[in-house]
Amino acid sequence: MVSFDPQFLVNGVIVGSTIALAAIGLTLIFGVLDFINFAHGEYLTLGAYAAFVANVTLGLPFVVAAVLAIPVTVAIALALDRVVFYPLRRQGVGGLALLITSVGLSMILRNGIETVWTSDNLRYSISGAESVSVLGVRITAVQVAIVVVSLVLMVAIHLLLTRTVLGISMRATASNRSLALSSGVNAEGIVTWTWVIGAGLTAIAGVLIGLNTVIRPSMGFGLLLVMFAAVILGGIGDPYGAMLGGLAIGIAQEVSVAFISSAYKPAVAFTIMVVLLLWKPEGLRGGEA
Amino acid sequence: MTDALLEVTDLHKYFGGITAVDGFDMTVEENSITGLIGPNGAGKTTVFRTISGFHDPDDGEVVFDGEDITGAPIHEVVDAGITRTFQEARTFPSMTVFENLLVGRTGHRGETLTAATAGSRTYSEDERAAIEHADQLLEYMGLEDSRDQRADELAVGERKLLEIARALMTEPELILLDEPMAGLPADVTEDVVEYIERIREERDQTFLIVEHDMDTIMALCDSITVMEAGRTIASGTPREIRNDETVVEAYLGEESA
Repeated sequence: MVSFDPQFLVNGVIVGSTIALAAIGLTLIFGVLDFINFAHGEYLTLGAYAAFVANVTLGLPFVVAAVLAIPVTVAIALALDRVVFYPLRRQGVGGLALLITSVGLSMILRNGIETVWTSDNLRYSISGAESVSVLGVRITAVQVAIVVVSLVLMVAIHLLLTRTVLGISMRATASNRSLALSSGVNAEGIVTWTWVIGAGLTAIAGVLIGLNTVIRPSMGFGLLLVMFAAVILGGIGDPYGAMLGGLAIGIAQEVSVAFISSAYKPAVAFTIMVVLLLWKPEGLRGGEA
Repeated sequence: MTDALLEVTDLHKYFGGITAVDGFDMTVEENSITGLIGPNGAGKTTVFRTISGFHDPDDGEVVFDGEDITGAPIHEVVDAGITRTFQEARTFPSMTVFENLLVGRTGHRGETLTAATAGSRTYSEDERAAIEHADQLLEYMGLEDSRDQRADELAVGERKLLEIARALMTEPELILLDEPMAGLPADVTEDVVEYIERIREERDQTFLIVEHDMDTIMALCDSITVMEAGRTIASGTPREIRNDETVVEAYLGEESA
């Protein structure tokens, strides 16, 4: 038996913090719009490609490209909401029909991206990939930046949700829609802000994941089920749960590599999810949302 | 013109083949406490939901303060000055009492049209005003010590007061109370009655109450409308209603039988 290598834990924190960001977006949209958005993975992919276009195709500095990916992805998410989800919502279509619609949207977006950029693995043009060794753990400057950016965004989301009327109204809408409406919350206004924040976070997650691995059309879809696992682990609709769940799933997946083949990473996420659903279906935080 | 704050005329609402409201009329006078009663299934809840914007009526008119709000979306009804509470003291359970009050308090209700359109009230000014208003209301409702407690940690009576405070946060003119006394112990009911009377007097509010507790309704209301099978069958003072034969037959008789 070899002793446990802390490298796996560090990898887990890096992967987990990016999953957490995307999972917050997914859970916020679920909470406020009351449907599971299967196209959420593609929003992550769109963010990564938007930054790729700005960075590699247009030759902009990476940081500028990463920041530009946010408004581009948000604009696409809002346009898709207006064209696809809003008309259905107005007719009072339920969560299941919206979910099926989003499955279709996911395929259209994924294949659209593949048509334009092919299924090749793409990379950003950026330096800082040389790893340094700290206490026996290899880590790159880029990876440190990934964790820092994720943590800063999580703190920002916390402040938004607890210190602003907008954030409080979002939590309220997720908690009890009719009561929130009776308090004067403008439902469509909150929906718009939820897309802005959810898609914005997911775009950043896409850029960070593209930075840590590669950019490809299926990157978001491949992570969708892991994001679901994170959301369920944390309690559906609970943004803090999604943060915890994302980190926990990321760490569990990477640490599992120390014991079993890395091909089983997704299986680890699902085993955790299934066990949790059986044992504590309301999520780790137990209905704190 | 009368001093009617709310006028509901010939309201109809169908669900599939079922007629829930079938030509309902009612008037709520300004600064009154008006009761809406009727046997189970008479359509009281549907009337409430239609006035507050949860349902679109199939026919009829809801006029509030001279403004036609028939079929307006909920937040516009709230902006017009009508808010409602729910049965069983609905709150946002995992949020603090203070946060419960801040929900929805941004940029929806500029004091005047010019202030709202000229953008003279910035986002943060809005928030500051909301925070100040919330703290005033907490004190008014005697909830200031629970300010930072989670709503689900409150006792049932405090939750009811929080719900009324939340309604007052929207700066309404008319508050619809949906069975405010349901499930409350007797001493809490007394408290809530006192608060309703106090709020009417000190804050110039009008109340429309659906309630099954006849003693409370008769004691609290200035005016009562009775509905049965989707229509208005009587309206008047508690005294008139108590002595109205149609009402006794349709409703009170059934209760005491």
